Amino acid sequence: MNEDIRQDSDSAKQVGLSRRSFLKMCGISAIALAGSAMVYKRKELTGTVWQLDPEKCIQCGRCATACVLTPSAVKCVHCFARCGYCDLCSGYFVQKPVALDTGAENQLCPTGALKRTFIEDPYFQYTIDEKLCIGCGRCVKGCADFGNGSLFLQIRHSRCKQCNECAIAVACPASAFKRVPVTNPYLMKTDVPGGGKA
Amino acid sequence: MNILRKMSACLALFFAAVPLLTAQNRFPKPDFTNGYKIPELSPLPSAASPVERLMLSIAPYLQYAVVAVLLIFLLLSCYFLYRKRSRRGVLVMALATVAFFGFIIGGCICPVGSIQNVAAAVFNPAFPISPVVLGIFLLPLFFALFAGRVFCGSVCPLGTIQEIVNFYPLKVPPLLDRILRTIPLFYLGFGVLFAATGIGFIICRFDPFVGLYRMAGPFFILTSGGGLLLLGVFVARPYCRYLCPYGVLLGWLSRLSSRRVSITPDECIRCRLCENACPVDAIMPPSPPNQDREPMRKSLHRIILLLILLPMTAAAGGVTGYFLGNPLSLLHPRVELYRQVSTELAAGERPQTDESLAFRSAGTPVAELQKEVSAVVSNIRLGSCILGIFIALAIMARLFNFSKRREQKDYQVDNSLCVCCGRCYNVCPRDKRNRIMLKESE
Ligand code: SF4
Ligand code: SF4
Ligand code: SF4
Ligand code: SF4
Repeated sequence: MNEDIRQDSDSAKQVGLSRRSFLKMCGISAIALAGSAMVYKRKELTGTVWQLDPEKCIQCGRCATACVLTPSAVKCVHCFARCGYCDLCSGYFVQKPVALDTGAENQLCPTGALKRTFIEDPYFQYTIDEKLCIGCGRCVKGCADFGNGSLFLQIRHSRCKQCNECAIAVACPASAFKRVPVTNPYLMKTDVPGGGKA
Repeated sequence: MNILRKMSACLALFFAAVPLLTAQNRFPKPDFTNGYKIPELSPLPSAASPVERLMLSIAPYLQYAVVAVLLIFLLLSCYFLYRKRSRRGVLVMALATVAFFGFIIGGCICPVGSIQNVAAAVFNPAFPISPVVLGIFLLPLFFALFAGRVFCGSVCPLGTIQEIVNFYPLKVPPLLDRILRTIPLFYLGFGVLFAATGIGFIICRFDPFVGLYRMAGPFFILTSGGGLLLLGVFVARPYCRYLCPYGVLLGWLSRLSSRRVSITPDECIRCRLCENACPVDAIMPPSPPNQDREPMRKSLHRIILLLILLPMTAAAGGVTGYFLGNPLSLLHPRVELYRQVSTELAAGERPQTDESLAFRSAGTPVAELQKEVSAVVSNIRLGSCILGIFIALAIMARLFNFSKRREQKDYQVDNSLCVCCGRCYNVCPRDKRNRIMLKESE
């Protein structure tokens, strides 16, 4: 213990001390009260993370550019259960493709992250190579506009830094971003629009 | 094959014209005949890499662990600062903070930014806030009540990085220092106002160091962080002193703390060696002998004048705030959206921005948006009126403090300014370490 601390508070601050300890009590009770009032009746006991609601997303492309990370923490996810396995995939091909093949000039994806594999006539399976995907949402837009909407964007929590204020949430024109419970951190698409099962 | 392709192309166009009104897909689920099984999502976030799965499953507990680490760091800092009187201990803690809260946790979320979460949650019951964030906000304040700003000394990820680079502390002219020190009041006020009314978290948006910790971020943030660090080599803790909003709260509470950094371990011999030791100018000299002071009458007059001016300044602040409300509300995204949508609709235009496209295609009635926006605007106006009064009062309180007569016989630190860095320990000749060194040199 440092004697002088006591000394100084004893000598010079005799008058101040009682007022100070009174104020201190006020401070402590205010902190305790505010604290308990804030958690009272709130559900977020485990904390929250950011996620985007794919039903609100309009595929503006800002997910790829607004994130503090480059490439973005947002990447594309494919819900196979909703996919039509179309040969002429509007998420894979540009609007008027020169040829229906894997040529880069025919693909919507700027990085070639969407992979197409033949299953059986006339069906093709589309998978996302996550390492290449930059979250630009072009395939998502193509699929939403002319297909089943089986491609969608999600923040990948393995990459996301969980900024206190998500930079994409600020930029998103559709207010698609929200805080979700960390115990349930993804907002997935299901078989059919509206979240049901086919 | 070719015909099939053309057909499916036509089909695609046809179905595209059918809006997705019903819960039905444009293209039916195919019936595979070769035994192909439809996989689940790809890539599977739920069954992603084992590491990610592990991280997600322990994430809730990890967040609590961060609060526990914060508590341990604060306690250790108190130990080094008050029990050990060790500047080196404080520095080690600072380095640990830069490593852990900075580079490992990523600088987010920190108590400085958590002000906004708390403000948003207080004024908007729907805003999610977890006990974790609340703990991060309250713990350093609690410590400030009992032990001053130990958090600033060695546990704040923003403060410590500035502490470490501060090699050649220079003195800021006192008047300039006092003027610049009012900026944090404004920053705190606007930070709370913007968070509470939903404009956004400006304290996070302009956090200069988080970009360095993440090693990613907008150019502007990275350069301003680098610039502040460069400035911080000469001017101690520029962010802490002239910007940090949390420092304002810590300063207020640490005034109530009876424990403070004492420059000397036992007795002050008024050798004046510490006069320039404090990088943030928190060391107050002893009050001059009575005959050298200005007469009591004069300071009394000044205080009376301040008291008379008090209601007027408060009113002026409130009125200014009220009139600032309207321009401020334009910063709110919903207000901006409403402005855009209503001008478009008046001109009979198609959506011009992504925002209005998203809003108009969602089909929410404009009247609803209008109602929301008018509530937002009146909130902002009220808030900024209160903010004006708050800032006026806070500045008056500072002036009052400056004019108050101090009764102090030794060199002592001003608890609300001291950032608990422990630099002054190393200059006091009464400090044991220094006595040993003096002896050795003799
Ligand atoms: S910013 Fe919003 S609307 Fe744009 S792609 Fe991302 S989620 Fe979709
Ligand atoms: S188009 Fe964009 S969102 Fe889709 S896979 Fe490629 S990079 Fe990802
Ligand atoms: S929280 Fe940060 S890292 Fe995560 S998606 Fe948003 S901006 Fe990117
Ligand atoms: S003044 Fe603010 S930024 Fe500086 S150390 Fe204290 S809390 Fe951190």
